[in-house]
Amino acid sequence: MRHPRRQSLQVAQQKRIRYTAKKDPRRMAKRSLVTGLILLAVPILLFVVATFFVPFEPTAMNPSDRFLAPNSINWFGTDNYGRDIFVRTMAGLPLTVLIAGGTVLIGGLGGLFLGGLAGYYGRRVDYFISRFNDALLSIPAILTGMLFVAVFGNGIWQVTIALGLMFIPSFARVVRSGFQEHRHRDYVKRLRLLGSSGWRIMTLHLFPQIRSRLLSAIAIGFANAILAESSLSFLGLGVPPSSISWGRMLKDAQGFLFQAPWYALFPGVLIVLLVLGAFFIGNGLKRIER
Amino acid sequence: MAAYLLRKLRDTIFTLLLVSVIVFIIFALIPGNPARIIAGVNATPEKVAFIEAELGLDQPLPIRFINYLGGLLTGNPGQSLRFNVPVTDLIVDAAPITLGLAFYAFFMVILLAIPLGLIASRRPGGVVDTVIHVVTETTLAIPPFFMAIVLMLLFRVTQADVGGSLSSGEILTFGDHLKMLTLPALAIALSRLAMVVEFLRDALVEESHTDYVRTAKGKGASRMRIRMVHVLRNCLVPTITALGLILAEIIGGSIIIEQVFLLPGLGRLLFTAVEARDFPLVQTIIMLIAVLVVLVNFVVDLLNQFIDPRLRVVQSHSRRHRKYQPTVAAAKKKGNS
Repeated sequence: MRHPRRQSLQVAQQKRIRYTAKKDPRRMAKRSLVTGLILLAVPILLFVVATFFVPFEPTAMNPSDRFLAPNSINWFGTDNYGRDIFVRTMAGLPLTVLIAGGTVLIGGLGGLFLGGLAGYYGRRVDYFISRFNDALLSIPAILTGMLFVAVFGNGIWQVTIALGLMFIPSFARVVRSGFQEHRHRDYVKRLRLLGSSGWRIMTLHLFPQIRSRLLSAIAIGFANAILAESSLSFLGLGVPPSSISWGRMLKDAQGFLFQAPWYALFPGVLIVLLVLGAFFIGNGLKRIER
Repeated sequence: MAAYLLRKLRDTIFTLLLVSVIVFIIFALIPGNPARIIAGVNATPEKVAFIEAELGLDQPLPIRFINYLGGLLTGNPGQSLRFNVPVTDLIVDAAPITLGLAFYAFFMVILLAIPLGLIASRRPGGVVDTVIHVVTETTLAIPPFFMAIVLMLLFRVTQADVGGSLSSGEILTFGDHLKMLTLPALAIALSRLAMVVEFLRDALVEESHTDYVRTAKGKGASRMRIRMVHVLRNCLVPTITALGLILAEIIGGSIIIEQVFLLPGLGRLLFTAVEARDFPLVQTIIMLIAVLVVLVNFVVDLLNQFIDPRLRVVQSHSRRHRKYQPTVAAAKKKGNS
């Protein structure tokens, strides 16, 4: 029989482990993913409703209906020109998704290339690429956005490219650490001995290893891209004035903050929903990978 | 330690050089002739040529880069095209507000994150931990400017209350600063809190299972004492690292938040400069901020070394290891032959 005191210590230890150990990681991951999908489903559903079932036009002005509070006809109320905020907000969704998607695409491809080189070849290549990443990271994304707008003018492409470049380091970091982990493994050494080129090893053998990690980085990058784009548009430096963007709506709404708080709140809440949804999905994917 | 310092210094200088190259290249990419853009549509060719010479645009690229770098290093990066005064004068007037705001927000992050991390790590996976995690994650998803708008609505504060009446270069007392900048700083701090809390919490949870904690417990130290004196100190390194990582975002955040509250800081200046296509001004402000971020990260690294001697040991070990590797390989070769 075990010593009683020792047994109690073991029980205590088990108890502590029960307190500390995270719950089943797969279940946590699933929960995170489902939460994210639900959060993303809300804007998408609202978008479908707004485009197909609500009779208002996003640009239709109606001076007699200025600053209506949210009601059964204008669900999110109306703005200073009497435009329906619900329809306007939803009309801004595709552009937001497009810019964030483009940003992630540029950042992801750039990051894959640079991070891959740094992680696979290491040494001097790694050193120079890492310093380059440090340099990019030291300029706040919003400033690069402003820089590009200053140089190339307002526009959807300028914003997407500027943000895409700024997102390279974050992807490069993920790819680099993944490649570094694998490059000294036996199977990679064997491939090298068999005469596989670096390119072949990277694309066919190393890339699949980091695919899931990259997916989670993409989800989180998507969220951050939405944040960055809305910040730029909020400053009036993002998308051109003719297109509808949530950041720009918030900028316009700021002048009527106390007169019509709903004008600012709804676009803002939608940004948060979308970003939070992408965050949850990113975290869920990260947990699955572990 | 000295070797480490030198290596770090070299890296930092190299990074700074790269930053200046990147910023320079973007400006060199200006489509068309920037002198023409600045001069306006109806400018005579003479005027364009004059502006070109003024900006040094008639010189080849490498010379332009050296001039530009020289200007930055000697503290004379040029004239503002819009305001027609030296760029540095404008920046000196505007910088205190932005830096004050960023510093205040930074301080607030520390003030909020440490208690939150301590509370969350008391019972990992418990209700309090989960609530703190969800709340900080949510605040991370709220863009700083929307956070500011929500705070303005909550506290019934208007733009005029904060910075509306302020003009650039005004001298403010510390009290004024505190009163004016609290809400803006809170908006920035709240939206950047999550990462620091998470790093600190994870470190605290991990550290509380180490042997020295058990020993301290065995010696009868109180839980409070163990956490505040022993564990927290060892968790400073990841926390400081996280703080360094969010610094760029905090400065970026200040620039946006200034626009929300109409504060006449660097953000406003940069905004005006971008609108007016005042290239020297834009270039200098961006360089200034990037240099600041790089330098602070350098300090963060040194600070970590200073706080946690273990990092130093690991560093020197890995270096020695690397140094010895070729010798070991050579010895093996010798043995084989």
